[in-house]
Amino acid sequence: MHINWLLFLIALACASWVFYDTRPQPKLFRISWAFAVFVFWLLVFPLYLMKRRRLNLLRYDNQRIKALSCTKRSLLDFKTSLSSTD
Amino acid sequence: MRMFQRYFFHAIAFSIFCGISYGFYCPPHPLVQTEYFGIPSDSLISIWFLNWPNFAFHHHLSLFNTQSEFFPVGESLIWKTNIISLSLILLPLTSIFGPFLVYNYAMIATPAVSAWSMYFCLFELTGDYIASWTGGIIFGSSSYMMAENIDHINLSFTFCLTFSLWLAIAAIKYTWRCRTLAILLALILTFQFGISQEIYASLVVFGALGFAVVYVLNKTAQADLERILPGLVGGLIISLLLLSPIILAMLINYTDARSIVSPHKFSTDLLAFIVPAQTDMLGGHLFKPITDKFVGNYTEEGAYLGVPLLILLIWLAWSHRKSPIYLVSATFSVLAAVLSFGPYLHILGYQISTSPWILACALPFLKAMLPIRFLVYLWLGIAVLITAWLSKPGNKVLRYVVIALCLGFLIPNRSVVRNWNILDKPSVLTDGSIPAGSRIIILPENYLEMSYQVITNQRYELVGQGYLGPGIPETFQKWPLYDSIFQGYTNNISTVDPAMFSAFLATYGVQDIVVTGHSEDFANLNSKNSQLVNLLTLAGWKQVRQTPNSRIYRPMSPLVVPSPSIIADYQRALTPEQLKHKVKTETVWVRGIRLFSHLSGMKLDPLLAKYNAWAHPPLSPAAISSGKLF
Repeated sequence: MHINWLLFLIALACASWVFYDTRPQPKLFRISWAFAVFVFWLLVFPLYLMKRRRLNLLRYDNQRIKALSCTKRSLLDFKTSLSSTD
Repeated sequence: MRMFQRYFFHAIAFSIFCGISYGFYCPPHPLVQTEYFGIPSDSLISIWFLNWPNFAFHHHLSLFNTQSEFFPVGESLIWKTNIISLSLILLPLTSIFGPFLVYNYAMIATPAVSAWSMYFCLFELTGDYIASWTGGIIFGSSSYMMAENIDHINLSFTFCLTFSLWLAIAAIKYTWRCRTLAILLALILTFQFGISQEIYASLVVFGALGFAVVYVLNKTAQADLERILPGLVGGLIISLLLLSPIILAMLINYTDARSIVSPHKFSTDLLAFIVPAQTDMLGGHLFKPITDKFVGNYTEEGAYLGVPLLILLIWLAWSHRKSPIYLVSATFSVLAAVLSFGPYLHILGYQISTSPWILACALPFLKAMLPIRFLVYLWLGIAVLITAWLSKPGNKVLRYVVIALCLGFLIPNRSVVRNWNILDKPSVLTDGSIPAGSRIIILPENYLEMSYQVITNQRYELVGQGYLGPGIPETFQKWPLYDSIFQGYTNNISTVDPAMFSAFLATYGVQDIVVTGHSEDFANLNSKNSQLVNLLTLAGWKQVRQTPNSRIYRPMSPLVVPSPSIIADYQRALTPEQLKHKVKTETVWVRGIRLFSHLSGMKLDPLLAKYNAWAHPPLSPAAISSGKLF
């Protein structure tokens, strides 16, 4: 019985972490992964860890690149506007 | 003419299935009157249930309640493994040939009927006789069927399950009206409920799951599925309405469901798919030390596929994944296998992960299903997958050779799955030594007592016993001696207080006690029989008759029923195990108090007095002194 609760808590903790870890993603996506980790921890949690970079970090990277390019573009715009004012 | 030919082939297929089944399971010698197929005690429970309607109709009794077992409170049969549908259908045969013979032939016929219904279903799907017949053989000789057919007729009789699938296929193929489908499905579901409520519930769950899988994975079938959906739902609703009185009674007696075994204990082990079970000829014995570690027992282990079949299935599913029938059957099989893991995934009996059934295992009714039994749906999916492959155009010889090789790994071990036993009936029960209607107890309890009732046509009232499945009426559970005397697993008879035993017997007006066993059982002083005889003598009972396999004991003087307060005192007394546990716990507490007194410098006696006054559990001073507390 004790091992039941231990496994239950481990699965719950991992599911919570996955939900937190996938925060840049859409809510349905996050719930689906967390739910899958909870109900089949042994299979899905390692799968998540393997795919984590692609699922999650890539999104971070994309956002960062997007953010950087936005900043770059706005700097360029600012520069252009300055030059046009001159 | 074509129709006649088709029926002829179906009849031939059925005959072959029956022939194979009889050839495999046939009794080794001409049957004697009380010989039965299977192992005690589940087989004997089925025989009891097969006989019950016969007795109930003759004596105008309820089909769902009995007073003959666990007299005087009786027992509700609602939550038991009641096979009322089979009992009623076989009633004419049971009344002529007796329940033992009918049960034996029903058990032999069950794999054949299940295989044939699967064949029928597959034929409707593929139209290939030989491939469908092979599919029927795969299903009928599957690990699930071999294991369950050892002693669970309610679980191995899967005719309704495959017939429900056939109804759905036929409704699409012959464009039946929803009304026709609903009525037929309702009848078959209602019939199934009377064989196994568990299979009924799992059929509804997996039926819905299968419908969803087909709907999602086979776009071309969506229109047909939408057309038959009202018929399927209607069938389920009609069956629920027909069964509503029984379902209501189940809800009223819902507390009885607590006695059903936990799904944690009957789940499929991950290794069970590749490690041969004890029921398998190839490797079954060799891998017994491993399979013994799996949860459940060998009569439930139906997961073994064998490595060749597993590889073939994976290859088939992967290489034909674009074909809907392969994709659907493979997905359905995988889902059934995953759900059969139960709430927690086990490897070698150790829980290592959560599993999807964790979501359902706490729900009402669903929690009463044992996940290991979902494997029947795995085998159903496998039979469809393989039949689809075999019926495909091309070189079929090689495919049949491959299938034969795979099935070679699944050949059952005849010495394990074919059991014939003779019930040794105590002669004092049948020779008229005990008057009809007497309140008796048969000891030592071996879970055979209900079958003695069948032999004697419920001639006696069994007091506090008559095992028909897990669960004991609360009235008897209250007595601390109950576990020591009546439960076949314990051997604490010597610790029972004779006065309490005497009070127990007087309370329920027990007239005769039958002690079964041969002279050598009584000769050994440490045997249960000897201990029982000692206890009976101390309780004031004497032997009045002896036969080679049983003895009758009666009270030396008329029994005096104790007052309710005395009964209550006895019922409050602790069992030896409880007493031992309490003494152990208290010892820990008292040692703690002593240590505290030593460390703090406080006086010990006032502390112990306070402990006795405020926190002391209700233990007698004698128990405390025997536990070396102070």
